[in-house]
Amino acid sequence: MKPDCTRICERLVDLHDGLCTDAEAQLIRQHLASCDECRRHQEELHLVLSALEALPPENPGPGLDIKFNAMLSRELQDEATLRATEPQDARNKNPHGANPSARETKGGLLHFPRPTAWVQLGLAASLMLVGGITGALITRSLTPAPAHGSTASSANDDTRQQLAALQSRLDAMNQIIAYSLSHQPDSQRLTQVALRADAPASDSAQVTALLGMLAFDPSTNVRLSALEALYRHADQPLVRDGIMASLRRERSPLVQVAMIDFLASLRDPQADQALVHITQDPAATKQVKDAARRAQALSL
Amino acid sequence: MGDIRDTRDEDHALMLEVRDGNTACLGKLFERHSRPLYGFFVRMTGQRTASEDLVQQVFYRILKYRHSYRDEGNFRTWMYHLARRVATDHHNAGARTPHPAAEPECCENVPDQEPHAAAMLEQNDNLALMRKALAQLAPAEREIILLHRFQELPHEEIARLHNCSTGAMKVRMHRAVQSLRQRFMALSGHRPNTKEAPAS
Repeated sequence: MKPDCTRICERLVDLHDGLCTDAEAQLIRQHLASCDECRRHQEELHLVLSALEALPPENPGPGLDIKFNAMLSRELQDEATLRATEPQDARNKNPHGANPSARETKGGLLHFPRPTAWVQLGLAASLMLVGGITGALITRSLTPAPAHGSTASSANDDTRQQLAALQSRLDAMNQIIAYSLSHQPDSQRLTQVALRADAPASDSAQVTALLGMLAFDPSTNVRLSALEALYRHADQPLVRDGIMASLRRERSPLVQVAMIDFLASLRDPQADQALVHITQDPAATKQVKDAARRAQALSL
Repeated sequence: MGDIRDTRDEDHALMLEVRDGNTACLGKLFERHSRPLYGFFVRMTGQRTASEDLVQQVFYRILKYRHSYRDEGNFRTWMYHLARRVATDHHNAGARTPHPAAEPECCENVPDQEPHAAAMLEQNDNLALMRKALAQLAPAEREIILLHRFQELPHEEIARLHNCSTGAMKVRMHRAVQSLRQRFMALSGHRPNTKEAPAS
């Protein structure tokens, strides 16, 4: 096909839909008048698009509305029950299921637990202590040891490996403390989740950030939003592992059930371990355990 | 165009109400969108009964994740974002996707207004062939054609769903339509054109 013909054929659908300008339409028609191949292409396209447009709508059975109303009623009832069992501790209280920003605007209740000054001081002091110990260990490991052959060398290797593991935990702790000391309101953190949700699937830093928000954010809604955003990355083992780890420490039944649903959608046998743990956890509510059992049944 | 924008604004306002706790508004959104959504799933999966369940799942997720709906959001784009995920989960669960033309009720004669028997037969033939041609498309191609031509999502919104540029989506759309044309013409055995002249 000639280049002109290629360009013309690319616009034939727009011509059919009336989306070309008058000048463009005239140019296309002039070409069609003199090009048999393009004219045939246009006639076929017209036939295809007309047949497509003539397809009648697909109508569901009468049960669709009935099922929806039953689902809505059931879910709202379950949600009310779950919210009634929300723990009263450091987690954000959300009695009406409303958007936190709306509640802030209305001056409503916003139980956002912030670390007290003494807790912050304690965390900082712990960090300094751990940092000091780490520094001492690093200094000792770098000090040349007497030449005792391979024994000293392997001992140094072991020490280096332990230090690397300790450094890794220290870095994670830094992130945790930085996150917990954040004074952003819920609405800003929800916006952050939305921005991270738009990041490309290959951006591992955003996935890690979302997992962090899921694990540590004090707001139930922010944690739920982070979980929703992680669906795009569900094929990554890091996401599965992160959600399984978070499920073990999560105390909000709402978020627990959402995490269980997420793991169920993966149909990954490795998630079964986390589900078993939940069914045996005495602190888990009946609704959460039922959700875990249903998820286990789905994965069989 | 003004009507379309008004509808989108209303949908957005209704969803904000749902997000803020007025869950009764979800029923209004269901009335507006459940049938087109059902049609999307039937044409994607070829399964009527499963498609009803998939519609339920989409609205279940809309309810469950209502707090993540943004102030500047577009309800229909968000709904089809959830619908695509539900369809993927359904596919991953091992559900087969037979050709829509394989379901007997899909091939029933469609009543039309043409009094002439031959014209009726030809139209019904074309509809059956179109259903079959759609079914033969790769799922990704079928999806973007359905989203654009049946669900009336503009290229920009479909591009956002697919995380690509609008230009790239237009190229994909063009290729999908050409693929549909080739399959349709092959199924029809290159039969002569109908009596109606091209609209242009």
